[in-house]
Amino acid sequence: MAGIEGNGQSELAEILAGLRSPTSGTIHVGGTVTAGLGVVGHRRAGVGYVPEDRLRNGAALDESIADNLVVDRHDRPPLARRGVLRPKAVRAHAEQLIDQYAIRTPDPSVPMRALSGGNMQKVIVARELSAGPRLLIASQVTRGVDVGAMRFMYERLVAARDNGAAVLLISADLTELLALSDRLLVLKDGLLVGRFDDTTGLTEKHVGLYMLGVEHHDDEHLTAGLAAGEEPTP
Amino acid sequence: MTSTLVETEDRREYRATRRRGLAVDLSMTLATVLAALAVGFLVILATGKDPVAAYEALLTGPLERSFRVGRWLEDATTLTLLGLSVAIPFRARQISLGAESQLYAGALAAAVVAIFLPLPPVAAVIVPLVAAAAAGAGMGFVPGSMKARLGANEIVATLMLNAIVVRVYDYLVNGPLKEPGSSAVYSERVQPDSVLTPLTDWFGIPLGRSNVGLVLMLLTAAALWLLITRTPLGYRIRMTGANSDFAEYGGIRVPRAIEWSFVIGGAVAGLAGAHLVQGVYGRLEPGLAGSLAFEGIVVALLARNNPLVVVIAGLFYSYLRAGGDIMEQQTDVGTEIVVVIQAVIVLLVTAQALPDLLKRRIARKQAAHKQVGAR
Repeated sequence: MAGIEGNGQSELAEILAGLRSPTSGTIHVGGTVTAGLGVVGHRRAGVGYVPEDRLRNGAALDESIADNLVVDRHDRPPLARRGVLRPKAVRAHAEQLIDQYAIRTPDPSVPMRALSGGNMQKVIVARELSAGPRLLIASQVTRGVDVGAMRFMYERLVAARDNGAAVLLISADLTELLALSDRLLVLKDGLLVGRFDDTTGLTEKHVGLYMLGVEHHDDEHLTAGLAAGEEPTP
Repeated sequence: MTSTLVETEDRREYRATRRRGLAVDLSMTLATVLAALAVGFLVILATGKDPVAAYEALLTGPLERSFRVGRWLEDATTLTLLGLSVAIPFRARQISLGAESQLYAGALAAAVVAIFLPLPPVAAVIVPLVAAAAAGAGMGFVPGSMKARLGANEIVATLMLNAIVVRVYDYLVNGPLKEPGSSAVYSERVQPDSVLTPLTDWFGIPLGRSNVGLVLMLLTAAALWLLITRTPLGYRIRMTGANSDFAEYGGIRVPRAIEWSFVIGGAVAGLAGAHLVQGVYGRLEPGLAGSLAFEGIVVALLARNNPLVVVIAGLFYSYLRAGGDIMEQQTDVGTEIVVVIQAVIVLLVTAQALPDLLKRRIARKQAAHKQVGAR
């Protein structure tokens, strides 16, 4: 999903993640109608969300890495049994993800605040991907992240797609979008104005014209392949 | 760049840093207390009185006679319960000042049950306690849900509720619940079976009005610590306090976590009321809690809202209170000095200035050390 920032990408992501309710329209995730379900319902339906501003709502900075990794699953086995949260299980869960996602830290009890941007983002991506999402909304995943972590994110996103998850990558970085996307959509003023089902050979300049509103696809092209009555985007 | 330093440490180093941080915290707390005492010392000196005699009374007085120990423990029980009662909402970053209303509601509930309801021996102690906790919880639920559901400011809501409940309490003690035929303003005594057993009966030495409420307080602190660290609800309260946007994003129902924090805090403050009625006074009296409700807030702040530390802070704070009274009786130095000492401690602790400064210095020194080593 491309577009100049402030053209509705953030709102779209928050609606899809259940943090905002849509004023109209329906949303389906793998057969579940998710509109109006709240965050828990969305997460249960298999929606994962890497928020665009990780410092605002992606992490609790003064809490430990271990606690940050369990926010969506702290009340379920194996982390909690019979109403009791098991610190050992929380710690083991964290150790495992720290290992799998190459999070650089001496200990799971380190507070998030002590981590660098890329490392913190790894924690967030680890949490969202380890939930096994069917749809992952990744907003500005590589913003303020070092090159090593950036490569790592790309690999993980592609791996998630290869495992069958739909990844909605929202980014201000066109190069990143062109390199990773199978299909590219362009938002302008909250409306879908461009759709490229094949990104090979697509140039930044060409997409840029759509982002600026110089060119746009007609409705027929935008909705091609969708079932009758379905609207493409809000 | 201290923030990213941690990443490069190995586990052993990190543990060492953390241990050192803990040691710094502990020694700084001690230094804070000493600094406050020194300030108090200077103030007494400046007023031309004898600081040594005053401090002797303040610091050793409460332990000199067993009934003074009892006085201290009885005060510490109420104060710690009140500290615990606000520490829980504080954990959810809710500034609850409602301990007073919750305490009086609890005291009323405990008194009504313990005076009028005939119950078999053990139940006669437990039922009033439960009633007090329930009344306190209800009194916590009101501002809690006002904040969580309607967006009311919790500070205003709790303060206003205090004003109302205290007036209602005064009315009831002066009117319907006043002991018939008595000229003094207090209620009938609770039934003998409802009295919390005095510690004097246990240890065989006179310990004043202190009672098994002390044990109840210790159990409550332990239970709250478990709640915060070992239950999903505690986790939700912690995350709500740490970053409510994050909690919401993670699927936590933030309003419900806030409500629960108020309800639990209210229940604990209700227990404090029951302790006063069933243990300390044995009846309802006007102004039961004095200024304790607000000192409970200070205790919670000193303990940084950790339930186990609240116990230590409560015991310490009460010790100063008890010592201050003795100092006033035995010397010509008034309890105001204790207020000065307490204020200095609170300022230094809440400002967190000393330990942070020291930790940063240590970290910088170590970084310099490392660089030299690398060369």
